Amino acid sequence: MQLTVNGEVCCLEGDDRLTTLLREQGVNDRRVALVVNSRVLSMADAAEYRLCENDRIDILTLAGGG
Amino acid sequence: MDPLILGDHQFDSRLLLGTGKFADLTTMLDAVHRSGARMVTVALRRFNRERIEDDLFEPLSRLPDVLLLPNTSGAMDAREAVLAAQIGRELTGHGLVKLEIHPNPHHLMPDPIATFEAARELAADGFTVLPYMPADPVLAKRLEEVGCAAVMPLGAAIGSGQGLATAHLLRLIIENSTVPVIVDAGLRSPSEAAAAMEMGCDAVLVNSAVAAAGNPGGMAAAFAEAVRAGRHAWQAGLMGRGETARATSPLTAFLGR
Repeated sequence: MQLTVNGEVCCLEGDDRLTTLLREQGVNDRRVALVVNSRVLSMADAAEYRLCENDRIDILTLAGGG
Repeated sequence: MDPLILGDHQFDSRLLLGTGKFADLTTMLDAVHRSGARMVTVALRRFNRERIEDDLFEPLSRLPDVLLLPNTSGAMDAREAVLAAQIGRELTGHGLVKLEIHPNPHHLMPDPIATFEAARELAADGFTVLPYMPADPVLAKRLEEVGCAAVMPLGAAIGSGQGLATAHLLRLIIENSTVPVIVDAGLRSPSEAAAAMEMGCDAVLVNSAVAAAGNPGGMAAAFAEAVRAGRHAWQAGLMGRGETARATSPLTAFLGR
């Protein structure tokens, strides 16, 4: 299915689990926040979340800032 | 103990440090350590597997007794700032947020209307809101009224090093505020931080002044001392200013006159 991940269009084949996408993105055990279609998704909900065609997913973490 | 109290949180340092613009992670962590800061600001960024080293969550969350304060920098309006605050809460596990909305990259002045709207919504949602704001006493009061836990007026433009350009307005904000006043942005030297604290500010936030110093760790330590000195001076009470000289030594009965 076609998704937009961190602003870039990508395809995920054969699996509709968000956890699969995160693994493919290299997130692994890192602490991240997830925004799916402009709503923050808790990590607990992310474990159960099934992706839909054209979902927009943002994966966020912390960086230096003032 | 003279804690800085922000909502339900207490901090035994009145210096907040930003984590941006440091040359490398080691330098930044050394500066945090030497600043004695108990709260450091962080920004949100999209995860990038090609730049894993930019992910500060892991190295910063290992620091003992240092709370990560997420900011909403990058938000262009109130709606984006509210979403950024929610993301920050998800990442850090607490509801303290430095609310900042400065849509114009040229001057980075905070948008007072969007800041007010977002502050009202976030405070109602239980966030401990620390809004970065223009040094405007009217806005400071309005932000306090909608439930902000502190106000963060600017000393000068972000990263400008212009010091306490807004000093006369900061005094008005301090006089009228019932929540802590944290001077944020524009400072260049520890003496300016001390001056802000002598004026009665409750805390100071610096980033560029430390990150861009010749020796960031050394400058962080200098700011820590300055903030403590300024706080002690304010508590001790400065003498009043006079129009004329007032002798400190006796002027009579000297050598037979």
